[in-house]
Amino acid sequence: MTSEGVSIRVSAVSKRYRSARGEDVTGLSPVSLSIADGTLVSIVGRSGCGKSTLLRLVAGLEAPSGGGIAVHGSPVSRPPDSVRYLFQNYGESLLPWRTVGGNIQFGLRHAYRRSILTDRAGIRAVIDEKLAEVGLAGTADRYPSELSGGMQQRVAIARALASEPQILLLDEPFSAVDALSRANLQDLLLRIWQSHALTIVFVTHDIDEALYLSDRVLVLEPNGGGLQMDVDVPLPRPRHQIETRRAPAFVEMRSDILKRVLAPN
Amino acid sequence: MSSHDEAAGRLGLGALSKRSPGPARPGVVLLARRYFTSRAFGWSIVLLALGAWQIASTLHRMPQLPPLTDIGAVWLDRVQNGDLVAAVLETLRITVIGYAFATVTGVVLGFLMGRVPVVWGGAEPVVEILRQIPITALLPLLILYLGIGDSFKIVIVMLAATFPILLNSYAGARSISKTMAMTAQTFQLNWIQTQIEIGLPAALPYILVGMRQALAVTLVIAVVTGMLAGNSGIGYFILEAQQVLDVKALFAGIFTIAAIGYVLNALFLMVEQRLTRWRSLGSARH
Repeated sequence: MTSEGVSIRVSAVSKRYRSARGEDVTGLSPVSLSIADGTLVSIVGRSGCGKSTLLRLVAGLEAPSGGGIAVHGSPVSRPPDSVRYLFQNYGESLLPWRTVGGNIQFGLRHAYRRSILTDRAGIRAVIDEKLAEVGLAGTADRYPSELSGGMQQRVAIARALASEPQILLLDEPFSAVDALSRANLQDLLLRIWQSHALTIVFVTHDIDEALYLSDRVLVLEPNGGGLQMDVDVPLPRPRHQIETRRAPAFVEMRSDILKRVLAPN
Repeated sequence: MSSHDEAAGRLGLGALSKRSPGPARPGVVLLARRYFTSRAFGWSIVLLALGAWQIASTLHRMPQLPPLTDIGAVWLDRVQNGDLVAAVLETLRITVIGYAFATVTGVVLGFLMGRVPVVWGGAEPVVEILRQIPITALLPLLILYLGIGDSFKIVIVMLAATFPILLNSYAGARSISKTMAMTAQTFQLNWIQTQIEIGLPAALPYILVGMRQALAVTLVIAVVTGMLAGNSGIGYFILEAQQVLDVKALFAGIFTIAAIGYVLNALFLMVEQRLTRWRSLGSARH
């Protein structure tokens, strides 16, 4: 097996936990899959299916109990430097004592490729550019706590972009924002995915969101049971919030997946 | 933020500072309301009490309660001849040195206890035992070891101030959320970078609370050591005044300490608010 064209390869990865009562709990039964360079893949499933666990394993934030993960051909034992992770609780991920600009500078300082930006004007220009890209121009001097939830998640996206990742992992990143902001954030994600040629793995419990965004949707079995479905999404791009969502192919895939997810185990 | 809210925050009475917006009131009632809920009300009580003191002591002369004007005259006299100023400076010198040592020890040890399991394991029992010992119980022993010079006073002040700073620094170091820790990991921060960029800034508000608690303790202990050693500082100034039954000088010394404590605390609050400005922004805007 070569790693040509493959961003992430997951080989028979499993995770077991010890619960508070000392019982052995299955977090994730062995899963194997590979994700091609430049694709946008979503992982869906019920709560407790292990989708976030799988994402943290890929991110190197947790160690698997069995199997292995390779990112760009090298095995993951700690967080890989080409990967950035966006959290559901963005409020706890941004540095509250730094301004929005300061948070993005943090991303720059810890960039994948250490671009040596020493002059203030250069740094400021990059900060402004990243903020404009996520639709937050002019907010560099404000503090995260002064922004709405959706805006804070945009700052987190800009900060991740500033560190020039090749792979972006997102763990239910829009589940805590209101529906309208959510649609805007989805379209923002699609824009940056295309302009930065990123590979994106997106965890969500929202099947519509997964279909709308993705090239491919992975459905996990409940209770850490492993991979249930692997669906290609051949919907045309660019996607459109209204047109795409009412396309017959979208509606059909949506009901196919829902049937499987909602089926009693 | 009104001055009431600010004062309530300062005393930790945040929950009492909620006011329901009532219907529009006539101007006088509104003004009265603003006055009685501000610190101006409290200052008026202080001024009234001092006025009553002044009148009572002028009408009915008694040696144990001299008129404020007499105390003021003695205060001015002792300031001008320099011995009150020298005593204050000496106490402040001990305070500052002891406080500086306590801050370094408390922050470094408390923070590391919160971030490095080995340091916690090794230091926690020692800290828990030592902090139960009243500082006064150590005085005789330390005098025996160190005499009654500078080193004795500084060590006592330092011991008293270290624990509030240490315990709060520890709590601050433990306050970092799991998400924040994982954020540091995904951005490839090494241990040192994580502490400098995330650990210390997150702990800073806690550290400052500890330092403010310690500041009050420090001044008290610095005054006491001067009395106990019986050789210098504002504590000794007061003790000496008592021994020669100079009640006016006694009061002059006491008022001076109160003023210094008030000013130090006010200065500290200013610095604290500046350093942790980001904390109050969210609540102020939403």
